[in-house]
Amino acid sequence: MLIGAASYASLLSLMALGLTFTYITMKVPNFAHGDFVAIGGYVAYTLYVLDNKNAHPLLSLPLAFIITGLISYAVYIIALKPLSKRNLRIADMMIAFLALEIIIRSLILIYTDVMRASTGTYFTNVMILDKNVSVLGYPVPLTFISSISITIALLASLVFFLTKTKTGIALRASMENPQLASTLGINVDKYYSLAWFLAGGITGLTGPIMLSIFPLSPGVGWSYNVRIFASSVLGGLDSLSGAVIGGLIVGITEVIGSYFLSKPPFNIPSVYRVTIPFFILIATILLMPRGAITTINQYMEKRRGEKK
Amino acid sequence: MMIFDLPRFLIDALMISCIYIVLSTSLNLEYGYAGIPNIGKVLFLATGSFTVAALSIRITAHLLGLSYGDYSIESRILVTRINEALDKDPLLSISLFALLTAIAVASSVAMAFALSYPTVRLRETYLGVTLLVAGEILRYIGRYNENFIGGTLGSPVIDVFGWMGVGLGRDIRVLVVYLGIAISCWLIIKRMLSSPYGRLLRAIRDDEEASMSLGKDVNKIRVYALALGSALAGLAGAMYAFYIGHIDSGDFTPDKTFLVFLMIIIGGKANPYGPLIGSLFYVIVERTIRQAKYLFKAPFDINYLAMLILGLVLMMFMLFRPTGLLNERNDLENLHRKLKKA
Repeated sequence: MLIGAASYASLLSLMALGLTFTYITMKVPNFAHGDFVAIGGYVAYTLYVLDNKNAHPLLSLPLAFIITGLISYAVYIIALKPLSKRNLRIADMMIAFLALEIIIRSLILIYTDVMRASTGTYFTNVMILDKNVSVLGYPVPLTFISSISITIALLASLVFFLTKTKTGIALRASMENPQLASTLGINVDKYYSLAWFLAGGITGLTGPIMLSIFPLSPGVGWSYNVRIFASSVLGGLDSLSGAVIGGLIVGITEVIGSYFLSKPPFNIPSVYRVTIPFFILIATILLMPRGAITTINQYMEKRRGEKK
Repeated sequence: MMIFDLPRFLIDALMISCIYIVLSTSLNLEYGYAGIPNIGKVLFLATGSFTVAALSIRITAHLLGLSYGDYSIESRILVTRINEALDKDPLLSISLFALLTAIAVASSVAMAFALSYPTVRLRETYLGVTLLVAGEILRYIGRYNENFIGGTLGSPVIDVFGWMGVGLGRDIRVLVVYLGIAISCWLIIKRMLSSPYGRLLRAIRDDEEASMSLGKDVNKIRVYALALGSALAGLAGAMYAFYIGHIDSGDFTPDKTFLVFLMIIIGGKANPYGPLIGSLFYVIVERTIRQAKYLFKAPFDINYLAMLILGLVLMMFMLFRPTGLLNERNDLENLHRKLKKA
């Protein structure tokens, strides 16, 4: 169970990281974010079906990254850039994102229907069963190894990219202070679209691995959104490191919490596990609306100040 | 299969329009006037519908002295027996309709207060996300808890209009009741919003600081606007439950929220006639698509294509005509119009 919790939580932190990227650029949460997971999953599943159920979902990770990234990039260029130029209020932007979610989900639904009709295999509620690999004599699920290693590798390369390369620093600058960045000659628009590409790609990567944890349907986007928003709000919505930590906390709490709640004395069936992230979300908003990470940082700074 | 029964088809379309008019009027109050992004509209609709679905059979069975074991299994048998009894008892039917609607409205308002309390002081993103997520949670609970509204099977709702007769005559009488409710709601809200209260809401939408400087408690006004809107949404939910006669939690997806926003954005935000035009537009489009289904042969469900097109329509409106078909009229323009006439 701990292994399941760890792989689930690490994937959730990647999704939350993707959402935070887009949140910083648009100041509005992207409701279509959960659908990016579904897109990534369907890329892997399509390859799996087309290859007579041989291709391992992990092999399609690069393709899932690129396709979801490109879709996310296209969404930014076609719809969001012109919208953000119109100076709409945040409330209006939220409605636009709601419409965007409907458009993307309908496209996935049409795609799965067409594929089902043409290939004759089921495309909704699908899972690819996981294989165990033996590590030091213990059987360990492949999802665990792949999710942990991909999360660590991706985070390490992101940290390197964002702090050491020129492009990464420019990206961070345009996300944190677009006006100042543009006075320094940085093309903010270009870096925003890069941020969207990365956000889509990172989120899409989780899709193929999720395929062996949760069944995939075209409508799964919303159940992921609940968890992603909780993680992201817990992390403070606009902090990248906060999103990763928030994702880990929400993921681990959800798996372990639903395990303990399903045992007596509570006997709550585990289908209600999605309510755990919701209560985390409400608790965060009530207790520390700026996110756990910011609150802890402030507390530490206060203590440091007192010591001096 | 084309339209078999034209009068029945028209009555059904009008009934659904009535429900959507109440719902979109409430959203116009919250979003158009007060600027609250209530992207959890379906939560309040679902609260109304679920309340009626969960209580209608239980309360009536209690009143009539019927006993039952497992709710999710026996509710279907119970509802036929209850309906037979209600057909002969107009007074009980009407009082049950009023009682259940009142409970639905009250629980929807309570939900609005409970959820807006933690979030209204924060950025509007938090309010939106919380309402949206809460709507999804309520749907999950409705789907998986069989003792609440029958789980995946859904729950039947008692027929409170059984005493109005059968066939077309009954449908017309029910339609008159629904039209009456919808139009009176619309008129009351229209009157409210053209009074100083409407100006107050628009003031806090357009400039929060300025209205605070004039001594207005912005958060309190927002919470009350949300509660008023939710009361109407709860009413719409109860109307939906009584009309459809069967509530299934699967209907209350965030798509419903999207549709209501589509209506008021097409019709025109902060214009009292916007919800009317938007609701009628949507119902006409939706019914046309339902008929078109029988004409086309496609390898996918036409409904998905319809949702895709509606999503694109909303996006186009946001991009090219964010004010909708009807513009918001401010008081100066109204005054100008009046002076011109005189």
